[in-house]
Amino acid sequence: MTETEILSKLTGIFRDVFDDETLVARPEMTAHEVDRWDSLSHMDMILLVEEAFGIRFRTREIVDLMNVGDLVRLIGIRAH
Amino acid sequence: MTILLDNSNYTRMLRIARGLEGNQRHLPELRLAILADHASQQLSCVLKAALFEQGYFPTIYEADYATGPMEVYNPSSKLYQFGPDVAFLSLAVQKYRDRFLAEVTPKGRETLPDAYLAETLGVIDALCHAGCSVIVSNLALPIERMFGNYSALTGQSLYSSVLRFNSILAEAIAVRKACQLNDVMYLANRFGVESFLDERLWLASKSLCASKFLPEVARSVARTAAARKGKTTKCLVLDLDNTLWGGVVGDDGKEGICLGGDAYGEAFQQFQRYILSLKQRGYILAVCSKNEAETALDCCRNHPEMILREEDFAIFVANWDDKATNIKYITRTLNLGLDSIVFIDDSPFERNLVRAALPAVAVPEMPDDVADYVRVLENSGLFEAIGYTDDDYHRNQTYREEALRRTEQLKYNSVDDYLNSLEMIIDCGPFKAEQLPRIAQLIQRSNQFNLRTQRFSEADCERYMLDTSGCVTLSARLQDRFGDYGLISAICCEIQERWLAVREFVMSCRVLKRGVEECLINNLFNEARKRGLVGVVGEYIKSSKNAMVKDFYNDFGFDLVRNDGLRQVWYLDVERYELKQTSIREMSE
Repeated sequence: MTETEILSKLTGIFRDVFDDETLVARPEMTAHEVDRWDSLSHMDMILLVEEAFGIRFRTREIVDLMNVGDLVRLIGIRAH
Repeated sequence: MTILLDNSNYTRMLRIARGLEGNQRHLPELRLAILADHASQQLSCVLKAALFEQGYFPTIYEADYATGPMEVYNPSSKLYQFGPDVAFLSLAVQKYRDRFLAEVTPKGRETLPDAYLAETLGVIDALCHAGCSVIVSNLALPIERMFGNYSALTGQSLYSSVLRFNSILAEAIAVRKACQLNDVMYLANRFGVESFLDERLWLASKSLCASKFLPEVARSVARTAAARKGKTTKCLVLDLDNTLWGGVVGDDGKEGICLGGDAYGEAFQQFQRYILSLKQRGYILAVCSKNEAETALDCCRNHPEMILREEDFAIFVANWDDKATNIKYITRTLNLGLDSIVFIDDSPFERNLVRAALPAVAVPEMPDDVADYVRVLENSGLFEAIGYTDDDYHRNQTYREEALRRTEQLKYNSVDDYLNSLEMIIDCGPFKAEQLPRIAQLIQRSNQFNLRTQRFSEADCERYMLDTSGCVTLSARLQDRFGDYGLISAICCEIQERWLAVREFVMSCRVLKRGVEECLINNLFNEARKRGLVGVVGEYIKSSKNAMVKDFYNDFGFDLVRNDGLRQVWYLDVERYELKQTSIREMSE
């Protein structure tokens, strides 16, 4: 799966979870830039990503995520 | 109606909740406060959508509870300024686990369920005392079993400790009239505890459960809240062919249908047993089948493998009319609202026809396989009860007698002749303690003959009953030669200066227009006279369902003294009231 494909899927999930139809997922994007991205909606997002890509993150990975780019790389490694 | 167990359902409900602001104000408001010992933001959002599904405009307050129940014990807190109708107390098993693991002595662990219950009841009772209905979640069973199978046998295990807490919590809730249970243990068990409790979510965001299960938790709360407000179904309208047995009796004959015998036939018997247990818990059963009446009846009377028999149905309609027409006939005959009907039919055509013609009727989507019928009906969440009384057990019989009476009525020339032939006896008097559950239930269930729709709770009724100098209560039981109607009316009045003011007045529609109303009003005026009062004040408050009684006080000669549209105040002097004659004999003390 290419980075573009992953980002496009993430865009759909972000719009759902963070309730903003204008959001576009970018690698350098962080939680601070998005209004509704807090610790609770972060977990919603993680669960939706797991479901969408058929993967499961480890707690360490969830904690270590710094930006969307990290998330894309992680999905790239896990998803087939 | 299979539950969608993925996140799409969850995100859909989040969207509904966010889209709600202000634009559904025409719905009745339901004010709910969440008190949760876990993060409640997500749950609160989904709960909004779930209450909206039940037909309410939700206003939700998230109490600051995770840090302790301070708000509950402070009468001037934001919680009480908000003024909730319902307080929902949501408890996470992970919090209980923290407490259990912090108890280091065997004695501390042994007694934790009782200590935890005492703390929880402190909160519950403070909320009840403030006039809220309270819905309390029990705990999901934990994954941890430090003793393996032996865990269930020792109070030293977290697993046993949670089981015991849930069990004594249920006992405590059962005796608290303003309190209901939200059975999270059942939900987690049905979905599988392993996926319900996501430890990563607890660690990262203190969420009660994986978010895809929040919709079902919220719906369970919303249904209980709605049931408390009187929104319950009462009658199952059942198809016969391929619903209660396999095959078509008109084509295959009584001997040719599938019922009992092999796995397929036993599946239908199993479904019939489930329906029978719903009848025993208070549902009225009706048949609505496209069949020759004699063929269908013969099968119910004489097929050796039938579990349900003719007398299990309050009314038996088998003809070739369309089912919407027949359902309307059934509701008219049994005097039920269309919104109290659940229609169960294997045919998608019939289901869609009824949905289109009668949108108020609940029509669960039945699966292809009869073995899945029970599971699907259980998932529909249509069978929420908030209590159980003897009258529930006898309800179907009562309605069956009523349908027989209506047939009998056709034989008489005048209404009076008919009423006299019934040999009715009424027993009127103040509330008795043992009647309170049934009285509260009648108040919750009566929508049409309900003059003020205040929905007094059992606790409210008890208060009126005990205050014999400041209040007057009146309940009535009715019987006739066909059977006993049980308790059919309840009235709560307050004495104000020199008047008797009616605060709650409900009557079962089953006994409409046969003299009961006259007996009740006679009794009220007799009581007012006995207490030296000069008049009776009645009010009619318009609801979406009580147009039936809008002229009630007018018909008894009351004068309209105030009218602000939705609320009319009526008054009549004791001196001016003439006792009404009826065909009902009053039972003396």
